[in-house]
Amino acid sequence: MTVHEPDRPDRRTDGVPSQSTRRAERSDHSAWNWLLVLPLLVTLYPPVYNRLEPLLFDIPLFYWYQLVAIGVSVIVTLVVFRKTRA
Amino acid sequence: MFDGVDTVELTVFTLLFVAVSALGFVAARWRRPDTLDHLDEWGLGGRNFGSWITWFLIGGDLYTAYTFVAVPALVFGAGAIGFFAVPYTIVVYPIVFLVLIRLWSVSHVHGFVTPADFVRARHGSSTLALLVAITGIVATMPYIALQLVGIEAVLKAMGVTGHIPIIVAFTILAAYTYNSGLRAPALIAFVKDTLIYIVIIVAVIVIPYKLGGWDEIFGAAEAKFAESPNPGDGVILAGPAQLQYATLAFGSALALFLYPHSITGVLASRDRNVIKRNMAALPAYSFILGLLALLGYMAIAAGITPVTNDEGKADSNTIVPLLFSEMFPSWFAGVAFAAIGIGALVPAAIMSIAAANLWTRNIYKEYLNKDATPKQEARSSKLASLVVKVGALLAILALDPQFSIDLQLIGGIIILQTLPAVALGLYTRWFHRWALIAGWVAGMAVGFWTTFQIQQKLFNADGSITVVKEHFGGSGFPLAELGFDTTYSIYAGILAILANLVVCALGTLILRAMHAPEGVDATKHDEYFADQDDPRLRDLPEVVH
Repeated sequence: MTVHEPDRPDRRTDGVPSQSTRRAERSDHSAWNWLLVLPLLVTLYPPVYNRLEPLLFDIPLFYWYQLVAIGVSVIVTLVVFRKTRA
Repeated sequence: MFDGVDTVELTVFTLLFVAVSALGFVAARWRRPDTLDHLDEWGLGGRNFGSWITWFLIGGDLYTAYTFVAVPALVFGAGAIGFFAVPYTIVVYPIVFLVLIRLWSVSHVHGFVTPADFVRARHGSSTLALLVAITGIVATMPYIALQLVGIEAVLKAMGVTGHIPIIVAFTILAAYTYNSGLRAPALIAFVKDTLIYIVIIVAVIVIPYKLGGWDEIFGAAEAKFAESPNPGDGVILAGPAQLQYATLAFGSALALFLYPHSITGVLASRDRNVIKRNMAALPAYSFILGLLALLGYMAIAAGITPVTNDEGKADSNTIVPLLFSEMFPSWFAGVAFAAIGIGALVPAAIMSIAAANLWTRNIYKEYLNKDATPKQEARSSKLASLVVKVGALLAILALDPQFSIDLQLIGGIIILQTLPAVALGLYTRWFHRWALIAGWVAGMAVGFWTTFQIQQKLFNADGSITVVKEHFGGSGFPLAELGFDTTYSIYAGILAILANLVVCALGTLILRAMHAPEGVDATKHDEYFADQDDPRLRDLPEVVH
């Protein structure tokens, strides 16, 4: 488990008293996680890609853009996985 | 029953189907446990699946036979809007990436088998857990029934009619699920997904080549939609349809991993890294799904007309099987049909296991037999899995299949109402348990009301509109119904979850002010980050469970 903010103040996210007896509080926090927002940004606003032109191999933008976006999603999750793996 | 059947197609289909069924029975010996008389074994395959098995299992679980016939059918009928399945399955993995590992960890420590198990421990409310369990069962049942629609579409395309083949297929499925539990769909998924990948890759190379290229295919689709009087169809989205497209993709993505069968696949994995790795690997299926959706346009270009049923209604679910029949030699069409048919078995098995586990853990053990031994739990689940399948079969044979289709449409909306208790519950206990219940009620009410209001309209050539279906005609709720001066529609599930969240928040503030009792949280902060080598509660005799 990566702990990127060792000097972070006590977070009581769960309403549970902090366990001062533990050596280091565990967490999934990582700045890399912000990358996960990217696939949402590129796909959830259709006006960006809701067009026929430009064609790619005769396929309208609407379709090839979203197929390419799958690749973006894969790369993003892969990077986050690599950088935060246990 | 077999008039005008292509014997080569049917033979290949039957051989593959029988081979896979044999595999289902053999699965009980695969990664053999000491005993199958425990829910961790029968219902979660030993909680020990590695990355590959999990990839095949979850992929086979989420991308169902119904998806494979219904998505291209939607693209065939309405065009771009049917492609929402692609952004849906793009955004889902980044959204759940961090959430699922928390769920896995806390479930690993406590031995949770269902999402309702978690809700009970986290919020200290058996009522809330019961609601989550019932929601899960109700949302899953029609989904199982729809897998039969997938098989039926294939049989129809082969010219096989009557209900006996379906009954036989489901009986075999029920028998090996009963026998082998989650190991059966896990093993079969290898075959199913391999076949699917081969078929789709061949299809997107061979069919465009035969039809004269993508240019021809999209040209034919554009011509069809230009001729159609429906303003909502087209090769790209009509302006107002964009909101519905985005909200449908986003809302469906939020709902997907709340379905009990998705969670079953996640909890069966060995450790956190298996889940994370799969979040990056599962989009391979999304890519296949995207290509598959385009088969809808290929069917237009190939001039496919759907099989009409007894009442003379065109069954657009048959277009992909018909396209395969027309474009492939008989033997390969048989392989393609088997891929779809077997594709129905994997999710149907996992869904029935998930529903059975909900029954056992959150109703049977909670209310009927509090001291149930692991063996009794496994037995209860095995029997429940049979009941669930008989129910699904009856829903298709005795009722109008449209009933299951309507229910499945609502299924996504109602399962979304468990988001505050399950997904947000993984992060915070801020919401009061009673407010979560009130929010669930509000979300359900809004979900039903909005979908009830949605009409399915047919646009006639003379510009008039015929209402084909008064109620439950889709999931796009016209905002004009709420008094907005707009032609935009929004996914009904989004409105329902918004209502749910507002009531949850307001209810919490009110209940806090009234000092209503909070309930006990049986989970601890660190348990949300536990990994495979961390101790489980049941291994620690000194901990009172």
